[in-house]
Amino acid sequence: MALHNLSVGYDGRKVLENINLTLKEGEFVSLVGRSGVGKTTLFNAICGFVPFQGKVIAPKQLGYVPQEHSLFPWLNVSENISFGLVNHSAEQARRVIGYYLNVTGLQEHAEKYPDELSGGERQRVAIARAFAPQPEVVLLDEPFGALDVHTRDKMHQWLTSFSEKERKPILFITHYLDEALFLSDRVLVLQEKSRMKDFEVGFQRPRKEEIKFSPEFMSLKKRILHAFE
Amino acid sequence: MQAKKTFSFVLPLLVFLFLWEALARSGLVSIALFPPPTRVFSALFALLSEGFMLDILASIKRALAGLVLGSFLGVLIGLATGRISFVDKNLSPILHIFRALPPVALIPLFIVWFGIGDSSKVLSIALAVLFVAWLNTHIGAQRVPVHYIRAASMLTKSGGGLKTMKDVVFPATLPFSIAGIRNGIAIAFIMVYVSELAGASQGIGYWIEVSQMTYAIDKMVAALAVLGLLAAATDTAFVKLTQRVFPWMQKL
Repeated sequence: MALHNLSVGYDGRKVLENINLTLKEGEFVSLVGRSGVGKTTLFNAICGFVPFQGKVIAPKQLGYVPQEHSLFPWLNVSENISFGLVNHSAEQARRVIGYYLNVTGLQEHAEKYPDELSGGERQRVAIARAFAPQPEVVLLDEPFGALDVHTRDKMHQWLTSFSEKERKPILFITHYLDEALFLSDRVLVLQEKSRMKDFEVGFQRPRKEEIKFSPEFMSLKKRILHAFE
Repeated sequence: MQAKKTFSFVLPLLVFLFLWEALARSGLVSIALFPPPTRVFSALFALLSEGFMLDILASIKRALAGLVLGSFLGVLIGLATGRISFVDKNLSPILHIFRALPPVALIPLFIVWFGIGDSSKVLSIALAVLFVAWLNTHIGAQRVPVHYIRAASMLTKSGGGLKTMKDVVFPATLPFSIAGIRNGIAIAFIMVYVSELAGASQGIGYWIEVSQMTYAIDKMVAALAVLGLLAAATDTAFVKLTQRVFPWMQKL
């Protein structure tokens, strides 16, 4: 997926200007930045929800997980996961649902409705639902923003092993630097006036929780924090 | 638990009937004009022995037929006007004009158009129900949260319009539609009564009219009570049905 000179404006005010970005095969990229710099607007432009200038080269099938409450409350877990499986036979759909119930650890909850699940379980279903139709790129917009610290840490562990299995390019918006560093191959800092700084994250995979306390992690975090200024 | 529930429902009803009986027999009001429940019950049995059951069934049939037809069309049109701006721009202004007309006033016209039989009654009930079902569904469909629509459009990129309408807009709008249909239930029973006043030889409304003319106030009250109970029972049955068919809705 690639963006060339992407610009988005509302009411005569430019929110994003000349953004260039490339997402490589299997790459996990996090997008961080202060509130209001246009992270979600960038997603909205990629998904075609808002008009934009410039060029977006994106596959037809994009996975998208918004911040929260995106699950359909009238569908149970299995039905939510299978929502995008429009061109699948019943047998194929059953197999895909079975696979994602397994990787989300929600086999016991297949018949439950979203409001019967915890916040972490709900977001796992939302992520599984986005991956189920086999999109070529997945966009995650602060999927763990509303979770408590403990659940969020557990979700990081789950998402790294999940994304390593799926090997899909992922663009991930977050406010938490620890989260961005732990999960990503690359962190992009979106600054005022749409400037973008790019940081490689070279920690070995599979990653363990402990790396969050390593000196390399701390020093990279410090460098990225400076880029916020 | 069930016994407690039944008791809490029956007790206020018994108190109400007792107070009614006491007031009617107190001498403060004329017992002929304000019959006590015991007299109303015996009038009801008298009515039933005269074949009132067939009248009840005729009224139920008309009310339900109008209710189903009006609700179905109202919800369908509401989804279209609520979500498709072309339909909204062209159809909603016309519907708003017709909505302002009192449906009762259309009954004579419907009799001229569709005859004195059941079709004019059913259609006038359906029309009255249609507008409440339509407006509620229209508002609900307009307020479907944008994140549901976006999630659906991303998941069903190609040709997902109909699926989004059926599997997202419709269920997201249902609580609004159901509120509209519940209003429609009350309206359907008002309309069945009014439509049976003119040109009917059977039905609860017909009996209320006949009882008034013969000054049989106890029979009139009995028929009115049956009409009220039927409307309340239909509403309760409808709520129970929606809870069973859409179990997720109770948690919204």
